Amino acid sequence: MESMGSINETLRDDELRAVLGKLDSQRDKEVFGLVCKRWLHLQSTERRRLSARAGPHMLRKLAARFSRLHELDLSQSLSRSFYPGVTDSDLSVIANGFKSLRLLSLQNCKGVTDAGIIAIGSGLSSLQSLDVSYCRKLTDKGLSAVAQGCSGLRALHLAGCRFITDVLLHALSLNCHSLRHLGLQGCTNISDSGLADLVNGCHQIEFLDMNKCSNIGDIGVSSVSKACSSSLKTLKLLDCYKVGDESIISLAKFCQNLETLIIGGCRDISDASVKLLASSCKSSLKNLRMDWCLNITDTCLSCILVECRNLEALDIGCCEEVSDAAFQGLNGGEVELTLTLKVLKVSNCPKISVAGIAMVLEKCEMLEYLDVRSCPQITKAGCDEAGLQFPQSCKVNFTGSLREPDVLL
Amino acid sequence: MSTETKKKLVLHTSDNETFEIEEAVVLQSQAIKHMVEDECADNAIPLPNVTSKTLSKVIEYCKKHAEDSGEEALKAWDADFIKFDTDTLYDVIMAANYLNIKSLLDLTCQRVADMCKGKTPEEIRRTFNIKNDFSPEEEEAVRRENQWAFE
Repeated sequence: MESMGSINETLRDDELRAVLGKLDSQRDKEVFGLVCKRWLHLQSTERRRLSARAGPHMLRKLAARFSRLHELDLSQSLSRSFYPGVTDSDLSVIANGFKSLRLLSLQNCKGVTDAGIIAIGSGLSSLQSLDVSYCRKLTDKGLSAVAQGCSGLRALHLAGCRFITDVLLHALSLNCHSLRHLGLQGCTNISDSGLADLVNGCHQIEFLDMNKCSNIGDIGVSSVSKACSSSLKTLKLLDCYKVGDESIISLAKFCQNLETLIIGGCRDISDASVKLLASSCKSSLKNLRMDWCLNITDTCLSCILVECRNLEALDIGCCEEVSDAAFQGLNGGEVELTLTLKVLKVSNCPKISVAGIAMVLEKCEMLEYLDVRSCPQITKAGCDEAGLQFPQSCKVNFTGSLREPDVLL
Repeated sequence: MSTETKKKLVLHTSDNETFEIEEAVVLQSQAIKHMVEDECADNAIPLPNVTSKTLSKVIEYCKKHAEDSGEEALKAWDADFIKFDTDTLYDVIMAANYLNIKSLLDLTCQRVADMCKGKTPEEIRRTFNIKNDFSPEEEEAVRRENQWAFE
């Protein structure tokens, strides 16, 4: 038998890393790590992303092994949770062990409290993204520590953290000037002055979710639109009933890169401001949810459909005044008007009939989902009788049994 | 068709052999290319880390890739070319790395990776003559950690 040289005596680390880089499957990479200690070290330190279900003992071992990790996902869900779940002592292990961490997801880790989050803030100075949605025990105290310790923070998700107040927004304004994504859904203590404070220091916000922040009004929204005029792409204001025309006019004036706007439940909003917005954001607007905007009429809707050439999703559910006339504008005039609409929701619109849907279908070749629940004039039988041709992959929701697309949530 | 004399470069290996190769072929090595650009290449270029046996393989690759034979033909040629024994394979990897010839490094590392795919750790150790330095407990601990940590 010829004596064969050993690969470990010949190749150096960077050459072995090049070989590891050519392995695609997770399984092959794991096997690579089981060959010998040197290969285990190479495989572990090459690993950038990890999802784990682990208590403190296992986390300590993972921290020792995967020392250069950038992303760690410990999020729980109803189907993927375990007792006792992620605890504050786990967060201490993480803060001390994964020093290069840039992204940490703790979504639904209900056991986490301020003490654990303070450790994260002091230990992980490179952190750029933190998701603590539904970590309901957290308050300003813990999260302000993160703002102070992680000045490079770009994304912070706090949905359901209902104890959060303007105090945190102030801390973010002082420390986190690179903030681009902020999720505050359900943080009902947030007010207009907190928002104004926030955008005083954070001018690059692209994504702002204030769904159900019922204290927010025109003053707050206007301050955001002015300060983040070129960056703002997504603004969510579901059920922010104090938001009115003044906010929409401000957005139309300042935010010409707006792609997603959710104003469902903002009952005071009326035609004039929305028409301005449609005109101003005609090339950028992709997703618009305005269900329950009771003052919206046909002229406004028609304007939106004609002006917004890149619109992909539209929800006008419960806009009771809207009728078939809104769609008539599509057929007059311009020959080339085909809509890019993929999702259309017109549930609870009693004045829309099968004829209106027919007009929509003629222009919307890319339609994937149509919601016509609780429209007394629109039934499956009625559509079949009228010979309506739906696009091949289009799902139509007549009675509420289909799963809804996420884009307008 | 003019028969101009194309410029040649002289390469000097670790076992004292000299190779005279057309510049265009050898410039696929970024390392040599930089030397030429920095004008350090008038005399023979010394390659203390590369033997003549290895260099002839590298040059065979570079000559073929300097021709314009079409992508399909080149792939087929590469697949045939790469069939050397593991010792030569390691030497070519190191030479490709040292001389900075990305496509050759990719090809050779892919070959080693392909020899690992679908195998068990023990099979890989046998293929590459690697000593197992895990105790049974250590190996079991790593396997357990892999179950807790997933993509």
